[in-house]
Amino acid sequence: MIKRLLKNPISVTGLVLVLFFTLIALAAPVLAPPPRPCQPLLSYWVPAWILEGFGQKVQPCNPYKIPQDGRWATPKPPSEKHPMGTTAYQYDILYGLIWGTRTAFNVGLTVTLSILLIGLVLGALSGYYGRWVDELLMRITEIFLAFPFLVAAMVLTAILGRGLDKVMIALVVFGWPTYARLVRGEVLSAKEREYVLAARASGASDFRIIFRHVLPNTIYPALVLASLDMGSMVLSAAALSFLGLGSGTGYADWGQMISFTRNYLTDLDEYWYTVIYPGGAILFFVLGWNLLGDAFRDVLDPRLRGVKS
Amino acid sequence: MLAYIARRLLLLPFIVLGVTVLIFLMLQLLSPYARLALYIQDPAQLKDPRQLERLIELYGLNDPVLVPFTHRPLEISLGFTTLRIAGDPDCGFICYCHCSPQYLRWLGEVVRGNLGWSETDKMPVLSALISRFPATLELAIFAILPLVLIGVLLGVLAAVYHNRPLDHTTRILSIMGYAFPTFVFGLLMLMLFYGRLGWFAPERLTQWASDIVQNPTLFTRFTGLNTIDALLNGRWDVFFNALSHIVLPVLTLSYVSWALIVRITRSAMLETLRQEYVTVARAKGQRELIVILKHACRNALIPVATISGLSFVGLLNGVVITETIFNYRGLGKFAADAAYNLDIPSVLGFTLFSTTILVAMNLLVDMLYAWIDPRVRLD
Repeated sequence: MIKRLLKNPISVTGLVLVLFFTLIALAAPVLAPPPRPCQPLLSYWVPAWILEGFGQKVQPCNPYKIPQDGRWATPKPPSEKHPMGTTAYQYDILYGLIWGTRTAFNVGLTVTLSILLIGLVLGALSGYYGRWVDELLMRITEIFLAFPFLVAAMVLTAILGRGLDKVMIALVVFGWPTYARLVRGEVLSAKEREYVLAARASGASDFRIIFRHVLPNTIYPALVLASLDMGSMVLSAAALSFLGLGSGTGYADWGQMISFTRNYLTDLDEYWYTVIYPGGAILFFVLGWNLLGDAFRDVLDPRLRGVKS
Repeated sequence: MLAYIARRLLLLPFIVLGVTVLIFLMLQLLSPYARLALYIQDPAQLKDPRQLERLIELYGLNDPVLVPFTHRPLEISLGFTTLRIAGDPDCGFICYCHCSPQYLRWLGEVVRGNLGWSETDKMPVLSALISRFPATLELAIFAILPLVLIGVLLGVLAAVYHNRPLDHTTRILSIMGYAFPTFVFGLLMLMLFYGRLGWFAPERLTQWASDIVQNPTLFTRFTGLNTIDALLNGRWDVFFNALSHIVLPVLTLSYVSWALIVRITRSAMLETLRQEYVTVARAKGQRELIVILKHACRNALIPVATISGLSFVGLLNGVVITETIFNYRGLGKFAADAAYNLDIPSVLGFTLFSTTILVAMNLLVDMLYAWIDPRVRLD
């Protein structure tokens, strides 16, 4: 499988991009040390509650706050001190980009894993039990799918109030139905297979059949969709941040950094660095996951195997 | 075919009902004071605090959402709280839930067209939606037609010239297009074509043209669509001005869906070209053009019909971002400004509007699908 992945230049590009961003996210404290370092240093990589479990004292610390160099309202072009320039109110763009990579992974992983999990459970229940369970769950997914995704996420975020956590909740609430439908379809065809009948004949419980026999054989399309969504969910979150619904000013978040441009839309030519750098980061992050997702699809979907496309 | 359509139509009310219930449940996250703006048409009512209490009472905003009834009063202890269920002797032995009076009252207001007060536009939400609709309609019309035509053409060409330079270029462009964030693309367009080259400008019209359009003695507004009104008035200068303002928003709005359509058309066409009936047609000595147009395209376009419907979702989503970037005063900008100010009635009004459009479009696409592909009808 890995050999097939590496044979295709497009998949390799995707893999390289994703690895690049992963490295930046992991190395963020080294690449852009916060003005006041967090103590202990391990807390950059290990969640505070685990460290506290080992008896370590963790001081509250927020490296995601971009350091500010003055309060001047117009952006300043790249200089020696700020290699990528500063946004309005003098937030350093490079620092924001580096820590924003972590934010992107936080948002992407949290949202995608949540909707994947919800979708798997509901889709499996719906497909496996059929009848009224199926009818009820599928009608509910239809209601969620009747909304335009971004608009629905926007209204829910506005109701919950501003904030990156609210954005994530909204994306999860309107993101799961696609997965539930996909998994349901796969489960429907898998449950008629001989190995499921064999498991049932040998007296396995429904729970065991679903989680040990059906799901492992039906999970791949959902995984492909999840890898594509790693990019697109970050994109949606960035779009909501751009509209001013995301994290507060000065938080290292790509969408939030671009949202400053709303104040000088007619002077973008002069302040190009406030668009190009954060925009490029979002573009390549999404592109990387898309290419990787496409590659997974080619590798995992046996119907396409052997077909040169 | 009739049975299929009938089934689709029968499901429609359930979806509409479900959508309103879901919205209503989301609204319950707000305080009664915040929800009040959804009911009133006159902002003066919101100023007086004593008036507020009266209005909350009047609209029953403190009423419980779900009113469960059994034939006997029930008390269920959950440890941390006790659930009390009122009794109703008329109710049968089986428990049931009365529909929430609060929900019905809200739904009644929505059906009557009262969507509340829009703080963003300083007018009732429905009037704001109506006044801004033509701008967005204009954008959508210009976005959809070239989108579908060029998208399908490029997709077919890419499949016919499979693995040739044209195919590779289209593929890379469509992958890039798929990953390109709308707002980054829009900002780049604005930067390049307005900031650097000065070709196209944001907003709907330049000041002089806007002055003409708003002057009733010079210009009659028939539809509210600038380009069409300009043509009907015979004002070519205004027409070209409106056109130059709409180019960038249309590009920004449609490239994502465009990438999707090219991609789907290409893969559907590739799949079809491998089918045996295509080989048979070729073996008969049919000309290649006829094979592609008559035998392959007609079958390959079936999934494209669905995707065209899907790309409508993309348009509805994209319109918010696009209009914000180009300062194009339509529904999308309205929703974006409202969201920024946390003006819930306005955002909700736009949501109701776009969801209605989407549900209608989906229905249309499904029927189109049944009409194109006879296999669907047999299910």
